[in-house]
Amino acid sequence: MIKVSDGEIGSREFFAILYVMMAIRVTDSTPNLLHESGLTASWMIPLISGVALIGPVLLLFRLVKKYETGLIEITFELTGPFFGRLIAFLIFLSVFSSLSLNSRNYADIVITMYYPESSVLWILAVLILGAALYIAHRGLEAIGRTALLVVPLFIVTSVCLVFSTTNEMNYLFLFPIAGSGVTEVAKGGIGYSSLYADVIIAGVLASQVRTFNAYRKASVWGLWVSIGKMAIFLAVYVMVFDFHAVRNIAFPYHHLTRMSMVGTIANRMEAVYLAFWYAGAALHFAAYLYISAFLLGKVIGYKPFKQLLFPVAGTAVVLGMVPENYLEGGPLRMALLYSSSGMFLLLPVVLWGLDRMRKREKK
Amino acid sequence: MGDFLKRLFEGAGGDQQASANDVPKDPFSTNLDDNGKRLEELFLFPLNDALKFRELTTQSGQRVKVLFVTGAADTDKISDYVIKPLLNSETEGKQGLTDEIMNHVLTISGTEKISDFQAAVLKLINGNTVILIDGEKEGIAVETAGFESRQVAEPTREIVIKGPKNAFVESNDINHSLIRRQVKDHRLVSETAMVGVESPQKISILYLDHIVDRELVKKVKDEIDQIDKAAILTLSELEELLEERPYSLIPSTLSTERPDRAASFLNEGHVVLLMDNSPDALIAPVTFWALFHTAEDQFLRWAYGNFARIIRTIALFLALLMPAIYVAVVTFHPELIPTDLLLAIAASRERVPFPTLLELLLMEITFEILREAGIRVPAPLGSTIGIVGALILGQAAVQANLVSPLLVVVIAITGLASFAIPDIGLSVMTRIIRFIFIAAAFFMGFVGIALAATAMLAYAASLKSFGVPFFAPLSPHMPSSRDLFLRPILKKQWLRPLSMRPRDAIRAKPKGRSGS
Amino acid sequence: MKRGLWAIGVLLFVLFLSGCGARSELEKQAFVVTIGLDKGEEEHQIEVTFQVANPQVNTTQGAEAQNEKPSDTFTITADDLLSAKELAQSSLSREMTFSHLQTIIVGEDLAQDNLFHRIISSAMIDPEMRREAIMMVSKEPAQEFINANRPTMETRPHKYYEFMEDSWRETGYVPISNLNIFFQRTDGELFLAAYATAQRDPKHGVDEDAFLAGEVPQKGGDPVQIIGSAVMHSGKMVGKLNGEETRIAQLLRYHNLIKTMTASFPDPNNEEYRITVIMNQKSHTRIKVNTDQSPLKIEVEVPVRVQINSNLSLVDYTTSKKKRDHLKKSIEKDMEKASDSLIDKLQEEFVGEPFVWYAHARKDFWTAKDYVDYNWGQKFKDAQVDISYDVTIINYGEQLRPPTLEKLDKED
Repeated sequence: MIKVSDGEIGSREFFAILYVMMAIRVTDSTPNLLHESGLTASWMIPLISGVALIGPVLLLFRLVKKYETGLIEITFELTGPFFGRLIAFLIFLSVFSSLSLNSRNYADIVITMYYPESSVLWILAVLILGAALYIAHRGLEAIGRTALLVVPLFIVTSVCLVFSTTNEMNYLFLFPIAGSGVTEVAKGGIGYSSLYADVIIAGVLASQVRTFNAYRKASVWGLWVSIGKMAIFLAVYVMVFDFHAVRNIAFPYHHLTRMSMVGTIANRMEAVYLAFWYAGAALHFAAYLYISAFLLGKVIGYKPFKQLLFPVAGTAVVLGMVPENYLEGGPLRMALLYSSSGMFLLLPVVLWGLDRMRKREKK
Repeated sequence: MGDFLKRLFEGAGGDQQASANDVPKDPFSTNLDDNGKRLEELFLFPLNDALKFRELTTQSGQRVKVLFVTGAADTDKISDYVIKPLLNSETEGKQGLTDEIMNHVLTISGTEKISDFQAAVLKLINGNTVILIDGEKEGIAVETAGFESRQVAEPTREIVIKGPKNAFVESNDINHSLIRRQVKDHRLVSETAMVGVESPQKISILYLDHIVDRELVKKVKDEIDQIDKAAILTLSELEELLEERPYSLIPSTLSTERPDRAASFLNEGHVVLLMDNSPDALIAPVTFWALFHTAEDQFLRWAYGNFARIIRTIALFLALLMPAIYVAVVTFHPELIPTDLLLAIAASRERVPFPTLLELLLMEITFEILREAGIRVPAPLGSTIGIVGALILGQAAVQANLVSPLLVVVIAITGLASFAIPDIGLSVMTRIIRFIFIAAAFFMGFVGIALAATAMLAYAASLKSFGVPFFAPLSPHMPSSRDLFLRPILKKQWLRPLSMRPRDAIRAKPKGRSGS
Repeated sequence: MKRGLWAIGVLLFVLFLSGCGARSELEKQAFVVTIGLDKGEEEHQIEVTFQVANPQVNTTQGAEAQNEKPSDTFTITADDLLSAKELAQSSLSREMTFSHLQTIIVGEDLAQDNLFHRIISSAMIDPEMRREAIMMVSKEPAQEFINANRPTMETRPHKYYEFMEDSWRETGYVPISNLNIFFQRTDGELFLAAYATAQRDPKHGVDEDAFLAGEVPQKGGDPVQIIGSAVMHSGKMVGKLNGEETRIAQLLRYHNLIKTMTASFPDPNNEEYRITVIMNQKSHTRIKVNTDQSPLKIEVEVPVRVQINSNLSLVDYTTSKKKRDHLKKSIEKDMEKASDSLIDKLQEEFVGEPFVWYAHARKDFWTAKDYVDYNWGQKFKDAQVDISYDVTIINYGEQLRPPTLEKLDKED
């Protein structure tokens, strides 16, 4: 093996992984949560989340640069094996629960919007145990390269979608500008910042990225592109449906694809968007599965962590079957998002603090 | 036990039928007759009349034996440049008779000293003439190879409208010279390796020393060394033996019959393998782009070449996905079709007794049979296939309500599209993968297609051919001259793909203006 | 490699283990192209009329069925749309699907009922219902309308509505009304739905375009007329606008959806005759809303570009600048008058506006709550609306001056 067999990934691949992890959120029921808390100003929430994340992300960069390794190794180094494991376990829990909740969410979207007569288990199994497991199994390189191949297509379809619905938009619907009020919006922004905490979670893969610069560049780009996409789409949803209606639409992305018109000939393009969306979903869950298994491997100290992929995926599917419908998953998701927001905002700060203390002790 | 099995499989013949490599490395004796006899035995003389020998005496009375294998050696050359000078030579009493003959008598360019039977046999089967001299412990091998070979002809598989029109032939030397004609670089290395335990064949490994990654060469050579097979007749056989994943649908080497293409691969840092008897060159490693591009893309002007590439990209996707999309749309997503067309399809399907999938498979398999039959059928019968095909596919099946007319259109477009794919490996791969997509579409519509496509893409992207990722340099991204789906103008193609890790990454960088 | 094969094996196994229920063959489905909704005889019941396209008529030559009708129409009485869909299956051999539903026709009786909003909102839960479907209100019960509508040219019903919708964009007599807009305007804003009928009640002596559906003097042809609009307030029909009012309503929007329209005005230089012009908008209508004032003040300026199309009075406009200015002024005045009367009607009768002016008002508010509390609909009732037109005449027809018929005129 000549060059890439070292298993390292470059900045573009890492960016693509971050993109499939975060940007796809515009398509599920995340916008609903944000619309509910921001009304016409919901598009500002991701931007505020981004601002809230700047500090932790910068601290994380410093740590990664200093220790030249991944987030988990840093944690172990700084907090000792017990707390290291505990923190790794907490991150694992947050990643894994979001994996299983979201996978259910995606299956629900398919059933509600496209295949009303299919069973949840069937969709979940094919998505998680089939495609995502297989992709994750091919390794991080495969995830990165595949993501890099398809992410440009996702970006193009997103742009197409926005442009093909401009006829239906009215920018005035974005007013009143402050939406639900400044405090509400700011609260939402910080509370939902864990939607982009993937940029911190992906820090566990930092050691597999070729250089620190590549890691930093990809993280910054991944973060702002995902946030930008979310902000744009939230604004588009409000502009197309208006804020009264958008609160009642369960999956605005999929309603938007139905309104997408390319001229007068092809005005029912939603199945095409469906295909791209699901390809993205497969990659999204592949990345999540991989990280889950990776973290679990660290927690239990099991090196060939790829063998954990199958049990993790299986458990995710079983847990995904527990809620009766997507409404039950909603509050759980919200609770998860709020609690993990706190964790991910604080983690780099705590680690950095420990690092400083250590330095002082040495002196 | 082991010995017994070995003998069982090798046959009881033992010494008599030992292969060329098993010929003992016994040195020649000084006795000319003994040597001759020994060689006769090795070539099973009375039974096999391939080995010819001519005994002659020089002017000075020195006995010399000239041996060659008929068919492999050129007899005119032998009589003009070997026998004639030998007969006229005066060599009496001189020291180092072998050297004397080599240096002062023979009027042919390639000579070499040999001193054992193994070397003698190897030289003989490769068309050389062996000269044995009475009283000397060494013989002389003279290059007189004269295999019959055809003239350089036009390529048949990789046809271009514009560009060079010569193709490799079955002769290694001619192929060498065809490549040398393109790559006029003293650093073009041609190494030789032997494959085949029983009947060894020479393989030439060509690469540009200043560009290629040494590791790649080493890897290719290692792979060749590991081949343990009695006889390898052609490069295609070697291709499969070199393959890292023989079961995979995706090839890991590429064969081309165009010297110009081989030369351009050399320039990008690939390794080219040539072999006698094979009218093509094997390129390793291979990326998707190598399979997807044709020679003509670079010969045509920028716009024309890229237009062809765009069309080919569309064809590739159509060939892969068209039937699957048809199944998905018709059975899962009827809202996607404009109402008029939808009603038309529904109407024409009304009297078809099969479900869409079966209808599609029926047509698809018929088409594949037609295609296979079309290749095998003798040329004079070729038109029959066309007529039968057109009738079966076009008219009768529709009229008999076996299939709906739109489906015929779908299959025809798919078939046409698959002919537009340049590489035979890629084309067959597409045809096989198409069936996987049809199954996926049948089970889950567009969701199925998307998941299958992603999984397959992940598989392809994770593949490496001799260590080079399949989609490099697009993914993983590496700096390159972006000769991918589209090509930039030649002036801008100054960076060699780093996926090959060339040691000389920059081609002659344009001076002054860059093309704009 | 082996592991890869194993994973593929699992995938295939899962695939074959269970089937996907959503799959169905085209010929086993019945494609509903039009739905009619009417009030049922019982309280809380509706009558749903389905028009199902017949694929075997006028589609492909090979599958043509000679004696079948292009569509099958039947009516089911049920509690809501989806249960009607289920019930319809009792007589229909094919599975009914709404995936190609284009038009929803609501009988005027039902549209005026409180029930309607519930019916249509609950129907939206079905993902097959598409938000871009056109909504029309018919004067008579929808089932009568659908049954009476037998256009000669477009025997296939979906084609008929498709072409009709295209022509609306050219005339402006009918608003572009789809379900998406309907669901946007549920909070006090007015929604205009196309108004249609198959009953003729010709009205003569009306100024050119002030017709409602059914009133256009027409003989022969398809009985259906679609002109004017039904005004819906909070999902309930409260009144009608005629063709002319509908047009003006389109012009007063910021974003005019109508490309061009043909209108006629009395010729100011010869009151006996009318002058016909082609109008389009050269730029967006300028709308200024001032919510700080009480009463609410709205200023609207509509830039209109006009081409003279026919000039019955044969007044020579090309030579006289005075006449031209006169014409311009008179068109402006005429349109302002019509607009003012429309505004009066809206303020008095309907308490709301269909011009999306509320979106402009939103700029003045800081939070969504402030805006909702402001109660735009009520405030609009007393608003002071100031409408002005800015007419540019770009063209006086292809002839430089009208053919001289002065001699003839004098002889009369």
